[in-house]
Amino acid sequence: MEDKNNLIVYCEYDEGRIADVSLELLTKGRQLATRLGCRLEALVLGDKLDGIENELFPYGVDVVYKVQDNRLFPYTSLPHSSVVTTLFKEIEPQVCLMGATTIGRDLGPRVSSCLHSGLTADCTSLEIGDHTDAAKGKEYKDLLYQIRPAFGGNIVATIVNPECRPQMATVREGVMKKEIFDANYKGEVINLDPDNYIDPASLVVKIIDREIEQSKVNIKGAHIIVAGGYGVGSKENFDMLFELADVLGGEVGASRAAVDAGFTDHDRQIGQTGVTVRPKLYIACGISGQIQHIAGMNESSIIISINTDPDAPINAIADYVITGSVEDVIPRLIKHYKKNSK
Amino acid sequence: MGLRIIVLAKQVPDTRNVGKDAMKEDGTINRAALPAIFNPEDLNALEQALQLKDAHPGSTITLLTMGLPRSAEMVRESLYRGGDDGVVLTDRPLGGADTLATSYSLAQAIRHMGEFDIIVGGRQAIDGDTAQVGPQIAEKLGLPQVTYAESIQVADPAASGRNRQRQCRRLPSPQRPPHPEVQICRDAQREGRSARRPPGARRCPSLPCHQGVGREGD
Ligand SMILES: Cc1cc2nc3c(=O)[nH]c(=O)nc-3n(C[C@H](O)[C@H](O)[C@H](O)COP(=O)(O)OP(=O)(O)OC[C@H]3O[C@@H](n4cnc5c(N)ncnc54)[C@H](O)[C@@H]3O)c2cc1C
Repeated sequence: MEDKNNLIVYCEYDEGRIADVSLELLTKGRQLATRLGCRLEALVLGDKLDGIENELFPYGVDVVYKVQDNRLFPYTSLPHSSVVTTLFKEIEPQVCLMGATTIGRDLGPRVSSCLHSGLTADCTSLEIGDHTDAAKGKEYKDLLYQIRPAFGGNIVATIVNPECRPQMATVREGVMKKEIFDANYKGEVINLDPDNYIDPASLVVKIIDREIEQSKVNIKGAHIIVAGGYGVGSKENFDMLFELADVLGGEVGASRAAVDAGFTDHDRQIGQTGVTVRPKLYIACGISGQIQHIAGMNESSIIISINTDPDAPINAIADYVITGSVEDVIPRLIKHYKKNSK
Repeated sequence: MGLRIIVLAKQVPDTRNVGKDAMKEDGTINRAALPAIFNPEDLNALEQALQLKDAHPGSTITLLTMGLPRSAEMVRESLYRGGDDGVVLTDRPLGGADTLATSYSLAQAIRHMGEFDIIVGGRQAIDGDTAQVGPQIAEKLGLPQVTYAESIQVADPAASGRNRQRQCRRLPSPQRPPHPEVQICRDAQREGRSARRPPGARRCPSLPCHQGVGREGD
C-alpha cells in the first residue's frame, strides 16, 4: 500500500490516554479506509507517548505517527497546527477526521485554512460515495460524504469536497460508536522528530496556570434522561424536571432553544451541536423535535413525548405520547413515581 | 494605554423562529421571512470588548461584519452599546461564501483597516454553529488564537502580553499570547449590557461605515 493519500485521525491525548472521541473516529475510520482501500493512520502529539500505539492498534490502525515533545502538552493551537500542517503537506492524506471538541474545533479550522481545504463541522454521519458535477461534467469517485443536518427545517445535507485535499470533517463525541476491530492487530509506528515539525515561531503562547475540573453533568452516561425544551417555559419549570429526574435516578437534558432561553446550562444541550445520547428512556418535555435535536437522541431505546401539540414532529419518533402541558403532566408523574418507588 | 479592538460579528436569521413559513417549497430557507438579529454569541464578544474599553480608557472598538447591506444595523447596535465605529463588508460576490471564503475576505479587510491590538469574536454563529471563521482569520493573519475564552484581562498594560482564561473540555488555563491576537469568546456568564442609546437619540443617518473594502484587498 502507498504511504500517501491515506485516511488519518488526529488523536487527542491527555494525561497518558487517548480521548474516546478519537477512538470512535478510528472505529469509523477503519470502515472508511477499508472501503477506500487505503491505510488507516493515527497522529498523536504529546509529552509521554511511550506505548500509546498499543491503545490504538486494536482499532485497526495501520500506522501511528508519534510526535513526542514536552512543548506539545498541554495542547496549544499553534504548535499543534504547525505539526499537523507540516506532516499533511508531506503525506497528503485524502481524509482527515478530528473530534468536534474544544481542541478539534480550535485546530481543525486552522489546519483547513492553512491547507486551503474545506472542513465540515459536526458531521452526524460519514460515508464514501461518488459524485457527479453536472455543471463541469466531471465524475468523482470515492469521495467522503460529510453528512449533517442543514440549517433550517428538516433537511440533511451531504457535503463533498471534490477538488481539495484533505477532505476534513469533525464529529462530536458519542456520535460514532467505539469498537475494537481486532485485539491483536499490529501496525507500524513512525516517530517523527519534533524539531522538524514544530515551527519555533509557533511557541509564542505560554500557559501560565492550569486548573482541571471534572464536568459535573454526565448526561452521556445516564440511562434515563428527562429533557426539556422551549415549551417548558421557564427556569422554575425546569426545576420540576430536575425533581422528576431525581425521582427516576436520571439526568436532565435540554434542547438548544431551552439553553438559549437561559432555562438551563449549555452542558446539558442534546443534539447535533450538543451531546449525543442513547439512554434506555428519554422523556422529551416541550420539545418540538427539530432535526438537530433528533440527531442527538433518536437512538434512545424508549422515547416518551410530553407536548401540548399532538402533531409535534417528535411524536412521530416517540414510543409514547402524552398530549398535555408540562406544568400539568410533570407534577403528576413526580407524584406517581414517588408513591410507587416507596 | 488604550487598546485598538476589532469585534467580529455576524447578522443571522433568528433560528429560534424557524417555523414552517420560513421554508421555501424546495426545502431551502426563505431568509426574507426570518427576522435578522445580531448573532447572540457575538454580543458576548462585544461585551468583552466594552469591558476592556472600560478598564483601559482611550480604547476604541471597531465592529467588523460581512453580509447584506442591512448588516449596517449591526454597526448601529454596536454604536448604541458603546462601540466607536464599524466596517460593513458587502458585495454580491461575497454572497454564499463558505467559511474559508468568509475568513479570507474578513482577513483582507482587517489588513486594510490598519493596526490593532486584539480581535474578539463570538464562539460561533447560531445559523451554522461551525465556529470556524475566528481561527481561520487568525491563521490567515498569522496570529495566535485563544478559543472558548471565559474572560480577557490585560496583565500589564505596558507589557505586550495578556492574561486570559481558556475554557477547555475540562481544563481552563490562562494563556499568555503576545499581541495582536484573535480571541473567541464562549457564551460566558456575563450578561450583555443593553443598548446605551441616549434618550431621544435618532438613528444616525450616516454612519462611519466603509463599504466594499474587500475588493481592494491585496
Ligand atoms: C446549526 C444549528 C445547530 C443546532 N443544534 C441543535 C442541537 O444540538 N440541539 C437542539 O436541541 N437544537 C439544535 N438546534 C436548534 C433546533 O433547530 C431547534 O430550534 C430546537 O431544537 C428547538 O427546540 P425546542 O424543541 O425546545 O423548541 P420549539 O421548537 O420552540 O418547540 C417547543 C415545543 O414545546 C411545545 N410546548 C409549548 N408549550 C408547552 C407546554 N406548556 N407543555 C408542553 N409542551 C409545550 C410546543 O408544542 C413545541 O412542540 C440547532 C440549530 C441550528 C441552526
